[in-house]
Amino acid sequence: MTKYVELHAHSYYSLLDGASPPEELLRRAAELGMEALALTDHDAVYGAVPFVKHARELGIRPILGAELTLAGAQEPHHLTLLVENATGWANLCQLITLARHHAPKGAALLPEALLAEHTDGLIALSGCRLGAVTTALRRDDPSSALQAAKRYREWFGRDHFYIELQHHRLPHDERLNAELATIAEQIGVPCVATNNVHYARREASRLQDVLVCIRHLTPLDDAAALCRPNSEYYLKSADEMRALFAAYPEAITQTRRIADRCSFELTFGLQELPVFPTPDGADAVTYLKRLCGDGLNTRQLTPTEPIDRQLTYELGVIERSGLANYFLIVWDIVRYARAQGILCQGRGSAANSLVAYLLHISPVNPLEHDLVFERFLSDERQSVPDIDIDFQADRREEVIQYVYTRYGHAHAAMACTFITFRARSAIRDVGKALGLPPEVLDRAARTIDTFKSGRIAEAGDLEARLGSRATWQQLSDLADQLDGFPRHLGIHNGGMIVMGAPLAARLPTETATMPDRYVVQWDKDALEEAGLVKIDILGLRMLSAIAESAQTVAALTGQPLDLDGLRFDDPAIYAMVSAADTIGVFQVESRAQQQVLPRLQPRRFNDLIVSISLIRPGPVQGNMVHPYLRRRLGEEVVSYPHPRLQPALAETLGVVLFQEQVVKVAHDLAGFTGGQGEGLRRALGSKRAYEALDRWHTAFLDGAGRSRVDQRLADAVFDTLRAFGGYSFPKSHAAAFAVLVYQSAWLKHYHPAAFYTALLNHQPMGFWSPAAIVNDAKRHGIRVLPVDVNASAARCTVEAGTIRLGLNQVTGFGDVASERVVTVRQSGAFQSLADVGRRTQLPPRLLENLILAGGMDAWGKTRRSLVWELGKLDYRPDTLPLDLPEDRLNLPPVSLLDVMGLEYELLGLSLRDHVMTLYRAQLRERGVLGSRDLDRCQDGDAVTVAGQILVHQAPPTAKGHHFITLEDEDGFINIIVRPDEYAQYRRVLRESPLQIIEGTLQRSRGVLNVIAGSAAALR
Amino acid sequence: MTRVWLTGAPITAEHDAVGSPLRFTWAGRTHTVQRVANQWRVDVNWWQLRLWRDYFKLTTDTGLLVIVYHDLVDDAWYVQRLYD
Repeated sequence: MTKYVELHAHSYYSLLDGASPPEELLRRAAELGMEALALTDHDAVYGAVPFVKHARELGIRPILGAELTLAGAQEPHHLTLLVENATGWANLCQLITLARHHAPKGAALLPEALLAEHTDGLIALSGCRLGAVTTALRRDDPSSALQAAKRYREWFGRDHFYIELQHHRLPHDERLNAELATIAEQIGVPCVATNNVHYARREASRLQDVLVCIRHLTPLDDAAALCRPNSEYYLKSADEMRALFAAYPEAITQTRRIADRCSFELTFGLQELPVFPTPDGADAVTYLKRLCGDGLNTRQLTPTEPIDRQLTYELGVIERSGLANYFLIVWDIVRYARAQGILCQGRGSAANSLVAYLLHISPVNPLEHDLVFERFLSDERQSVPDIDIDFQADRREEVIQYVYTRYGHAHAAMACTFITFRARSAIRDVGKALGLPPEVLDRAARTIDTFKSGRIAEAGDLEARLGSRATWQQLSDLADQLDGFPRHLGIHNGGMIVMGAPLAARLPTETATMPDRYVVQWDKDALEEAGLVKIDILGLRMLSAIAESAQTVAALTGQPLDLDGLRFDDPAIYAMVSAADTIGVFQVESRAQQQVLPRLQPRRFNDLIVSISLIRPGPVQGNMVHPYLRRRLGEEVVSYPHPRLQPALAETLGVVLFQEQVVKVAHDLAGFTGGQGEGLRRALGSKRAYEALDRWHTAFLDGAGRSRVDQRLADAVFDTLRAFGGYSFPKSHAAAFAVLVYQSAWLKHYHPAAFYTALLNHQPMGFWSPAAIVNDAKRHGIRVLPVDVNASAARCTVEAGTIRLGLNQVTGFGDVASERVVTVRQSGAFQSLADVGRRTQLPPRLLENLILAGGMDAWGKTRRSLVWELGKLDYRPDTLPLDLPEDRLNLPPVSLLDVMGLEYELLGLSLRDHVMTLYRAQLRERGVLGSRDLDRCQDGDAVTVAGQILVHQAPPTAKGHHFITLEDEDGFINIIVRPDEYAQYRRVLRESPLQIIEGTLQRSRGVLNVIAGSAAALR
Repeated sequence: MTRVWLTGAPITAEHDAVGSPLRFTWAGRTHTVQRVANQWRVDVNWWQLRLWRDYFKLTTDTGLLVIVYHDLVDDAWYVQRLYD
């Protein structure tokens, strides 16, 4: 029987023009008994890696290719290209790169002349209805069609060009195919049948129509001309294709012959890296050893026996893996940053390596923290480990530019990332296509949980407004299918690829939104899977804040701060962290952290590592937090699910907290090798790896069974690992971050003014708003001075131990506007509003913001009268500087509440007394307690409290509980709202900034929470 | 003159293995298909009322030139258009 191979298939990586992921196409191909399948997305190989990976798993031969968009004499047209061999891959990459670089972002257009230069190793099929040949035939222009076909035959060669026949049961398909077959005969090339597949199964044609509508921003009702007229673009069986092409049986057999010719396999490796030029021509290993020797000195390490042994071992593994050159490249980047005074440190698994520590890539000595080098690198592990480095966010660009300069733009690019549809955006987009009114979709998207669970009746009149249950069902089904589809391309947050050979010959690049930035067509998972080394150059605002704090302190004291020299052993720092006095401190400042720290009572560096790893969705979801705390506090006996797990879990009292422990548990209980353990850990961390996880589950139970572990117990342990999921921190990562926890806590304790100032200057960052940071500063006795047009610098500054807010804190004042005020002011202080306007020429909108934020209070005029004055002022450059006589108008003063409201709006904070002080007398009379009063209350007391909502959280792990932090003039009140109460008081809790809450006090080891019984707006 | 039945006039039809009509009975009279001049499939409007149909433009031994369609949703046949 004739076999059929589909050679023209689009996946959802054709971005809004393909309704199936590659794996779905492959699964269907497997069901149909197809031996091979080609992936030909539009001008891209985005899906190449997952396609190849899944194809191999299913035993299908993957053929790579693309449908290219060409520009010639006529309108843009399509051409199907298939990769025959490695030369063909290089040419396809170059063609896609050229096409992308000749079009605006997101589009592609390849000048035909360039195509001719890159045809080796590629097989071309003449294309779909938009191919040059077919387009000409559809225009009734057979001679142009013939010319186009001849042109392709010349460029690709007689053996590498085919006339592509398609039959979608459209009115003219039969005639077109007859004409195409004639042309094939005339020019002496074979015909080949394809189905221009856009989805795996017919049912998905609806999703395809919706995608087309999303792409064209058109509702389905108006999209008849854009959508295909039927649903025949699915992956068809050999029988179906044979029936459609009964007149051209050769076109079917040809598919198999072409597939057999395409033998290219994707492989990459370390050899792709550029060679780091060592001094004196030393080889990379020798030079790396020399640098490690230097590192022992700079890290002030005595080469003891364990250090010697570890270093020799690591260098051996690095040498055998051929990674020395890679380390040198990373070291060079870090060295450059340090030389420029840019703070940086490695994160992630690199912190497991002593070599990385000695090269100053990572900040922790792995031997001091029992870190496991094999998590980073081992002789067994085949893949190249990523090294992720955080740089201070405000200067990361300098580092990226250094890499571009050092290796050249043709050799360096950023990884891409796919912006995907999320449940909410999917509802909105599908709904728009279905023509539903935006306000109804907003409602549906907001109440998505109710919506998706099918309990639409609970959403009140939503069903009625959606028109009908059928419409709702369509919306819900399609949005569900769309969830997770890639929508467009973005730049990965820092992942850089560098290559010795020009990138374009290895994988395509395209332009990004940022000027002078190129992204490769693979995301980080694809790059890793393909074995391509990525260096993550990440921006971390906390590093910027730490760097700025250190500079401020150095400038004020004349002494440089040696943060690297901190010994992590200051009891005062641990006391502060244990008291949850951590607003602004890296990683341990969130409300959740603050709830746990008083119970955890960190006393040493390792406790900071635990704290970072513990308060994460993973451990919370896995129900790890309370067992760990109870065990730490001695309230629960430390036990292990199986005695064999004691070595792995002893450091965390029997509870799984670190990724490293997943690998150890899998080894100790189920006999997994390190590589298998790592595979399991990755599957646990992947959102879409259900099938892989099932396989690991079986392997885990089998392995445990072989070593006579009770199946139920093994199952329970696996469930624990599953719950722990991919949310976990590797311990090495937590250790690197713990350094920043300590440094930021140290700065907050010893140099608070400088620290708070830096925090304000680098917002947004962390958990708390500027208002919370300023209030925290005030509670620590630091004065905060207002924005003042004559006194403020562009950024917040420290003046004699007090903080002066910078102009950058005023809404709308970016760097440019702030700098302009400061520059203009150098010629003399501003005398009046008119003077500010004339000299700065800032737009009235910004001046109004400055007035209302209090920046001109120093002149003694009310803000309202200044705004009034601004309205009459004409300070354009060509007007005479006439001061108009002042109005005698008496404007009524604005209430204090209004003033504060405006300050919040324009500054994000208010320096006045806390808003709650305005209500305090009234509240006292009503018996409402403040945050300080709660200290005197007992567990279980009925209390009424009030405050301003600072944080409102409903983490998905909390099963419908809402956590609200109220702030008053003295501190915070933590509120827990249970699901029933939330349902009842949702509106008031969402809409009123000031709340009165009645409830019950819960007191446990220094942590206070009020369990809300009712809520009301404070007026 | 061309007569058009917007929603189609029901007929009964016999078809071959691939779904092409061989003969049909319309208003009590049987017509045998001589030649299918063109055929096409539509699948549109699914978000309201799905139109999933195989259309055939054909001539009959009775001298008709008609467009008939096979409604694939309800598996029924209709005449849509008659060319005089």
